[in-house]
Amino acid sequence: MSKHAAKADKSKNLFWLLHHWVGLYTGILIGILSLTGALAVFIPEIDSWIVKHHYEATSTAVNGTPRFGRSVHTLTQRFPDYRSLTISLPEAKEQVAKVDLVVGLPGNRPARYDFFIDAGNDRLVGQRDHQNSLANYLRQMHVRLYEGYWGRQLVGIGGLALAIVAITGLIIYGNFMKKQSWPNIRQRVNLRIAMADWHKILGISALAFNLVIALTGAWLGLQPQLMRWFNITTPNSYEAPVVMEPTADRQMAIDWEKALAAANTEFPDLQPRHLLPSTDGSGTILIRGNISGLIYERDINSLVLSKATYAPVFKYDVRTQSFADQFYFIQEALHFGDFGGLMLKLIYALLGLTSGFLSISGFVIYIYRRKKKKQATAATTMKIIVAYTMLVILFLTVIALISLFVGYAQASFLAGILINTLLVALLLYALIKYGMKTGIKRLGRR
Amino acid sequence: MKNKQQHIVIEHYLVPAGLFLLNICLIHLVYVFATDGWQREWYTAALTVSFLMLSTSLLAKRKGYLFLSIAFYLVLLLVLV
Repeated sequence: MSKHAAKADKSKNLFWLLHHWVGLYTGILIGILSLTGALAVFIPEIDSWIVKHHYEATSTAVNGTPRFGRSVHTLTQRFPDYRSLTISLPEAKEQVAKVDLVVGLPGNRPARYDFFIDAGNDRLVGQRDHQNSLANYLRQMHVRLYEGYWGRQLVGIGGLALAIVAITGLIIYGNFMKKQSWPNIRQRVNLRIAMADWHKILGISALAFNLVIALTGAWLGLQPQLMRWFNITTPNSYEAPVVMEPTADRQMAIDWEKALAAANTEFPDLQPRHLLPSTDGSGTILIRGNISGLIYERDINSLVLSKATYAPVFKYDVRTQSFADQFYFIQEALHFGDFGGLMLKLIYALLGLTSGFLSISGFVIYIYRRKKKKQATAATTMKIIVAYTMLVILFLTVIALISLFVGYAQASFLAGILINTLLVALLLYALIKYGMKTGIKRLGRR
Repeated sequence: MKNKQQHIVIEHYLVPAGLFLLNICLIHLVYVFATDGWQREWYTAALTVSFLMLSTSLLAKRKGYLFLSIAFYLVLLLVLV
């Protein structure tokens, strides 16, 4: 073998080791994120369905602009000291307008409620605790594993790990395809070879997709830390000057039809989705929405109007922003497939599940390799896989039930304990294993 | 020897490259159909042809056809930029 070929083989072996160890220690995290991500892409659709069928909240026919002013006024009278109020406009026929209201409870604790408004008759037709909703569970589980302290960063590390296994997988792919061709799966072989074949074929087939999901996920998860470290500021973070007392600001009457008409005149391409009256004394209305056909994060375009005159104070049209701003706002849309309708979301869910399958198939290969001497059988391997899968499903179900029927805080507390305990156990296991391995090697040398 | 070299070029390089672009092309195609597909007929038609070319070239595994389909989609992406 020439020196050059030996060097190439050595570096490929290094990439294989990286693929192996990163995949092994983060496989379970990648599997959870794959499953929750496949569900998370449908959050708006799932939530609409629940509001319609579980809460039986629908809108009667809306002629022209949705009507909700009277209901919003009733809510502000009922909760005069509310901290923030966001009106979400209906996106489809029969859908209700939603008011996301944050109020202060005794002991300065915030509570967040969703109120549903029939946007045809301007009538309150239902409410729920925002934190305990299924939509919030799906989002929080995927975004931070329900762990409030550093769950988001952990998910970011999961994204980074997926990127590493995807790239190293591509580098070592050729080594494993010397006598095989895509997309052939060897027939009449044992479980290990079948899983290894599926691992290679699916891994390479969905590589670009998984890489995009991994890199955008890593950015979204590590975003708060990275922004702090590199001093990155959030684009579109306009703050209007305070001109009055917050109480007076909250009590100002708003003609929502006039506000929407002004938005249509000032920013015709904007499809308003959320309306946020100020509560800090700036006397403004923030209108956030989308521009049709663009691949950017939802509701990132905005227009700020004066509450008194409905004149524009600030406008943010993502089309006219710098490349850096546009790049910043493209991440979430690319990650959640929120730019091409339901069909694209279905494709995202299917392709997203491949990373979950890859973590399982990779684990099967690992078990076989580890138990080679003990003669691993398909039955024992499948038992291990089923046990791990059931534990993950149990974790997801228990946290979901606690979150839906007891409370978000309790679910988050339990998830925090479970995740951090597992993490510490995993790190200790890895350290002990490494220590034993190096110790045995040293003893061998002596 | 030639067959082995051919196998390496196709299986180790062209197929992964074709699959990589097929992922992007599929998302791109669905996005265009879901948004402004019918307003830019020629572009949408070319994109559909490109998707079909990439898919069939991966099944046929002819070196020239794989090169052509990869190049065609890359040109379409450049036009977009």
